[in-house]
Amino acid sequence: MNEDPPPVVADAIAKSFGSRRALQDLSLRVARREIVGFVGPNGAGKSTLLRILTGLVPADAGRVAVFGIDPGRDEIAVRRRVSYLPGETNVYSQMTGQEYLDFATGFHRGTLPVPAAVQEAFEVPLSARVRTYSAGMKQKLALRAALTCDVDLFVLDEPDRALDASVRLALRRWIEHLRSELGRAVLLSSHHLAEVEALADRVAFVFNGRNVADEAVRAARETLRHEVRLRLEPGTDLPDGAERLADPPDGTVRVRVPDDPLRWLARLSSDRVLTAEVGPTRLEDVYAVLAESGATGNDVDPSATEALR
Amino acid sequence: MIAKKTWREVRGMGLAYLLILEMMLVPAILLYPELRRAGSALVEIMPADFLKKMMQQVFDPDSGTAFRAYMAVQMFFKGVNIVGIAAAVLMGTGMVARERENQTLEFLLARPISRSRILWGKFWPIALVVVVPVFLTSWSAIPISALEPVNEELPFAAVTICSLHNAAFCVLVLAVTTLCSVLARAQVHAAFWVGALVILQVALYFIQKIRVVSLFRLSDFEVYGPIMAGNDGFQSVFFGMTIWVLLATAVVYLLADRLFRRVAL
Repeated sequence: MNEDPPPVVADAIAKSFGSRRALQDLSLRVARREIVGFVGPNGAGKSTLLRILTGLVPADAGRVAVFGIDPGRDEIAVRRRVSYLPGETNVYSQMTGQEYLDFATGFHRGTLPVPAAVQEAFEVPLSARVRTYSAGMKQKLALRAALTCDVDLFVLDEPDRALDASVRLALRRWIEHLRSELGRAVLLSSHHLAEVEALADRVAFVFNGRNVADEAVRAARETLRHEVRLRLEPGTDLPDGAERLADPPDGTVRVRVPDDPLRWLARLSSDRVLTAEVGPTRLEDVYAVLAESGATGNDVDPSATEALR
Repeated sequence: MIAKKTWREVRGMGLAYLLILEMMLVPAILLYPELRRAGSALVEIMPADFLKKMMQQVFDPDSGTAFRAYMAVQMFFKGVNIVGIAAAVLMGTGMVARERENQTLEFLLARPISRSRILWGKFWPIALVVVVPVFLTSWSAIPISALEPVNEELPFAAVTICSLHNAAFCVLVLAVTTLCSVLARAQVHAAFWVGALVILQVALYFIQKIRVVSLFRLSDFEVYGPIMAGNDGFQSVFFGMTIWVLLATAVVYLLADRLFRRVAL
C-alpha cells in the first residue's frame, strides 16, 4: 500500500470547449491521507478538472494520473478507486433511499459504515421514495452514497450544497474521519472558504482555469486581514482612518483599516454595531481581491498550494 | 445493476403494454364471425388498392385461411405495429435523455463501468419488455381462437414466426429510439424525433408509388399474410427478412453506442 502512487497528480492540464478555454496549465496534487480544498469562483474550471480526474471528460493537454493511472486511458480502473459526487447532480426519484444507496455503492468493492458521530445528522427515511425528500435530504442521501463507497479517493464537488449548518458540521467530521481513521484522500471543491479552511490540509485556488500563485493568495489574504465587514445601526458614522470600499449587495458596509482592525472596531460604540466580520472569512472577498490584483498565473508549484496547517 | 434498475423502471409499463395488446386482441378475435358476415361492405370502403386486396383475403368466404389473414392484420400489422412501437418509443426515449434531463447522467457515467455496458444494461431489459408480450399475446390468440363462436385454428409455428419477425421489427424501432435518446437533451425531444420519423414512414407507406421505401414494408400484411397462410416457412422468413431487420438493428444500436461513448457532459 505504501508503494501506491499518489491519489492525484495533474500537471499542466488544458481543456477547451469550442473556443472557450476552461483550463490552462492547471496543476494539482493530492497525497495519501490528505484533504485538499479546491476553490474558485463559478466557471473557474473546478468541475471540469474533477471530471477530467474521474475520466468523464478527456484533457486536451497535460498529464493526469490518479493512483498512477491515466483516466483518459483506463477510466474504469480509476473509478474503481474513486467515489465522485458531481456538483449538479440529482438522485433517482423513483427509487427508495435504500435502493439508491445500494445502487450507488454496488459498483464498488464494498461499503463503509456511516460514522456513529454523524449518523443522526445524515439520517434520512431510507424506506421512503426519494421523490418525497426535500432538497437537503436528497443531498444528504447523495453524500451518504458517495461517502460510503469503499474507495481510496473521494472527489466531492460542492458537497455542502443545500445543507444546513449542523449537517455541514457533521459532513466536516465525516470527511475528517475518512482521512484520519481510514486513511483515505479527499479532494473537495466548495464555495465556503471557512469550511474548506477548517477541514483541508491544503487549499488550491483556481481562477479563470489557472492556478493562482501562492504569493497572490497570501497577498490577498494579507489585504483582507485589514478589512472589516459591518452591519450598523442606521445613521452610524464611521471613525476616521478607514477607507470605505464598495458596499456589498447584502446591506453590509465594507471598510479597509490601516492598522489592527480590532483596535479600530473598539472606537465604534458597541451598541451601534449589529455584526462585524474581520479578516478573510469570505471566499468572495478573496476572489474580489484576486481579481482586482489580476492575480492569475501558472507559476505555482502544485505541491505547494497554500498550506493552511 | 443497471439492468436491474432499468427493469424496475419499465416493468409497470411492460405489464400495461401486455394488457393493452390482449385487450385489443380478445375482442378482435371474438368479433370475427360478425365482421366476416359484413366483410364485403368493409372491403368496399377501403381507400387504397393494397388495403382492398388485404381485406378481400381477410373476408374471403371461400378461403380456408381467411381467419389467419385476419389475425395477420389484427395481431401483427395493426396490433403490435401500433402498440409495440408506442411501447418501444415510450420506454426507449428516456433511456439516456431522461438521465440527462433529471441531472443523473453524470452520476451514472461516474460509476466504474463502461458506457457501453451502461447503454446495454438499459437496452436489453427494455428490448425484452417490448418483445416478450408480442409472443405471449400471439400465443394466447391460439386458444382464444378455438373458442365458440370463432372456432378457428391458428398454427403455432406460423404465429411464432410472425411474432419473431414482428418483435425484431419492434427492436429495430427501439434501436432507433435509443439513438435519438442518446442525442436528445430531453425525453420529449427524443419522442418528437422518433414520432416524426414514424409518421413519415406511415405517410410513405400509404403513398402507393413510393411505399416500397417505407420501413413499414418490413412489417406489413404482405409479410405476415403469407406466413400465416403457411406459404412462407421459418427459413425463408428469417433468412430472407428477419436477419436484415436484426442487422439493421445492430448497426443502429452500435451507432448509438459509439455516440454514447462520446457524450459530453
